[in-house]
Amino acid sequence: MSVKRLTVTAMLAAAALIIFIIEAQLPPLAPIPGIKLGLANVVTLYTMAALGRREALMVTILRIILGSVFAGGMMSLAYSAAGGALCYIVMAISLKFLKERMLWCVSVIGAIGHNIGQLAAAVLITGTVQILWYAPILIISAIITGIFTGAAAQQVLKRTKNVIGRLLNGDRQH
Amino acid sequence: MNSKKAVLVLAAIVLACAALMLIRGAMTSENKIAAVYLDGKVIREIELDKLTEPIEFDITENGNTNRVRAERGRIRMISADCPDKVCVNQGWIDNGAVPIVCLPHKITIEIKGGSPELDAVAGGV
Repeated sequence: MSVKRLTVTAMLAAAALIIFIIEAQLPPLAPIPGIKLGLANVVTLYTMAALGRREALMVTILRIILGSVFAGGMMSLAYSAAGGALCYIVMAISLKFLKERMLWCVSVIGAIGHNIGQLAAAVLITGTVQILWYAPILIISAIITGIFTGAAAQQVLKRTKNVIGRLLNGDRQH
Repeated sequence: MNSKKAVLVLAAIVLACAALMLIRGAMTSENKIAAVYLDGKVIREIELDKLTEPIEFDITENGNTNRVRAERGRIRMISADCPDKVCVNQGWIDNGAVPIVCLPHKITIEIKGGSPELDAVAGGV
């Protein structure tokens, strides 16, 4: 990985972390756990589409670990990691099959994956299967917030394509 | 896959999820039993429809305390000594569409229909 690529990835990781921490300070959207915009995923998705999967993985891992250090604890790290891992995997797979103008769909799939991952972690940690009754409301919320963050990532990608290309100095693998 | 198809698929998923919640809510709106789970085990069941006056009780485990209030037909968490207070902010639930969960203290309150699983049903106490 070139130094330029590494630097851009680090900047994106910092941006994701800042967005994550600011969002954690905002009042919750709904009085139900797990329902939030997930704005940090805008950066993950953008990184995946503009730079690549490897860079997006680094941004995700850095954001989850540092996010828990700054705005959470060990317990939130477990939920964050479960959600982030599943979100990353389903987005990395679906980005293969969906074109750039369908990026918002990749985001929705990622958001659903994130919420399912967190729900699975909650069931495992508390040993209470009844928590699965949350699934329908979490899936509905993931679709709505996923469309929002996906549209944001898609717009950013459209508007910064030239900039990111110049930043990487032709070092684009995708 | 184009955008139009994607919108249809997502709309179908939203409708299916909403229908599931409505059906579950309707199925648990009579003979309501609130089951309180700690660490995956039922520790208390309350026949909500049979309550004549409100009851309150504490769930204390490992030095953590949650206070639950149940009234005829509904139940809520009224206080918790966890940092996030998500369960308290959720307020009342009066059917099984969405349970109350306190993740840090591993407590879940679910409303279900039918008859209680425990022998000793805590009604008035």
